[in-house]
Amino acid sequence: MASQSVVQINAPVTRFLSSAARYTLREPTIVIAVVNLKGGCGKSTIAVNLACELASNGDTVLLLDNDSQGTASHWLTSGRLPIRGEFMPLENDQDGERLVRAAAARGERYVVLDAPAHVGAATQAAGKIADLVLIPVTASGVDLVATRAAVELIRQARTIRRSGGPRCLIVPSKIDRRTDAGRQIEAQLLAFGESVGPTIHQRTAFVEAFGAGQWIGDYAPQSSAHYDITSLAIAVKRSLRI
Amino acid sequence: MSALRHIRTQELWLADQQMAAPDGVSEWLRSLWSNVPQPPDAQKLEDAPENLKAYRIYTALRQGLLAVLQQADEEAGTRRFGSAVEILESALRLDGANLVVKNRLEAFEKMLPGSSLGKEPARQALPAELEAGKEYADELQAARMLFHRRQFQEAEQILIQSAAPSDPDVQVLLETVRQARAATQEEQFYKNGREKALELIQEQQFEQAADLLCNLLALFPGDPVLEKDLQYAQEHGQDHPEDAGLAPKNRGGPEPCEPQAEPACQKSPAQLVETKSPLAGGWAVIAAAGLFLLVAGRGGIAARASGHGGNFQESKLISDPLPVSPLFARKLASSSKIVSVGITPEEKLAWRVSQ
Repeated sequence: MASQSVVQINAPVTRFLSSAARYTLREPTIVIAVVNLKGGCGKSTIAVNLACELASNGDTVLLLDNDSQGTASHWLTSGRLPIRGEFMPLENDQDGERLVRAAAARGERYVVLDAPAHVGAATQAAGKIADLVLIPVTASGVDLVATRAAVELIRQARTIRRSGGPRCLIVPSKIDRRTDAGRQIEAQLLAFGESVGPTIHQRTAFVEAFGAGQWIGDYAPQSSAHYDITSLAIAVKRSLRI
Repeated sequence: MSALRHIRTQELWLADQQMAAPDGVSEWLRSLWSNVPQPPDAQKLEDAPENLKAYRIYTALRQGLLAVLQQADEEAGTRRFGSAVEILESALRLDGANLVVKNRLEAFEKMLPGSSLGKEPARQALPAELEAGKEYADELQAARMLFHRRQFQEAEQILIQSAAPSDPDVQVLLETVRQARAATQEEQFYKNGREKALELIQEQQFEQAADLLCNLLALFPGDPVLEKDLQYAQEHGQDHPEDAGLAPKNRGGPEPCEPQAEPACQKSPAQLVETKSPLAGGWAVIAAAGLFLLVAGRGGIAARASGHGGNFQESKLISDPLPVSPLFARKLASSSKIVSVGITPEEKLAWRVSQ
């Protein structure tokens, strides 16, 4: 009789445990790749500052510098950034997947990839594993050509991936609205048919923060440059929620 | 001796190549003995291909049995003992003398619900299971309390490290907490961003103010307050092209002005994947979260945690229909957020099936 009552009480607990075991959903790691096929458009600045902004909101973030130039890694060596990072050039797709699995095992909420400025295995892998691809674009004709190629790369990745991903956000970068090009860039970017994010303006504070080995939220909190990064982080989170 | 070693090597190689026809190897060996002096263990060598074949069959069978055992263990791991027993019974048909399979089958049969012996292991496992259930209930309760106090980050941490992170209740609450946290951050950004913009305007740094307001408008398109601020900044920026805050401070904030056709930097609503006013977003999340907390708080975990014969399925039905004010109902109905809160339809279906 005693064992019967034990079994009755046990039933819901058992059912809960078995259903929990059936649910294999784990805390997902969100991969954000910062990609453009042209250098000097602010990829590393955006990758590092965005990663730090996400971390400042209490999320765990891993920054992976896949660019052989190692700008983000250099920034990280100062030891003054609130994030962890690794220099990890991606050789092929398998490296990318292994990388994300490793990051997921460590429990990071976000992995931010700073991709190299060329079409290679790393960029293609980034397109295949990323949940969101950010394409920073400066107000120059050369950047617009490179952006077209990057957008094409993302669309190829979408056709390969069953999920329909990755999402894409074009980010006007290093913009100076006092110039004609700076004022017209947003309209030009909308022509790509992808979402356009908030603008990261040309600010000396970004350069100075890099020199000081800090991110903009520590170097110049509540500055206009910091607000640029905060607005980008909000746009990124919105893009990922849909 | 070297000749014998050579013969052995050839024999094994041939046996490897001709496993399907070991007789051919034996014949080849017999013809070999006619040409060279017959070694003392010639008969043993002639039998070797057959032995090798037998060994290969044994190896293949053993590998197959190991795979079957693993599969049965996986089934038992999810407490589907009936399925595990079926798998092992089929394995016994392959190798009836296998003691490992026999022992495993005996152990799993005891775990079957109808078995008189089945209750004993269940009782042994009960304390750990109850403890896990209690831990889960405590975590969920703590997370709800923190959510109620708007300590979203702390609530999220508890849910992420929950003993059952994939449980639907945890998933729903986690999603709700995250949306509430995001909505709070956005509201804070809107408030702080506008304050910063007004500060820049006061310092006559109109272009920087316009840059900031443009980004705010990209996130909160159509916000009339931001549009007026931007219009003010742009108009005065044209009057002060030198910008850079060299002009005297405390000149006053933006004045009310008629709305312009469209500010130069305003982006279309479709530009970002999702755009909304911060207040609307906050309402949606809080409304959804409030409803969730009321429903779950009244019935969800209480019965489960109490252990007084409470059953999970029943506990979901304990809650009475909640009185909802018309205003609250309208906000719920108009909120697209509520649709996105929660688990996917597939998960819901799986959950129902599991009940």
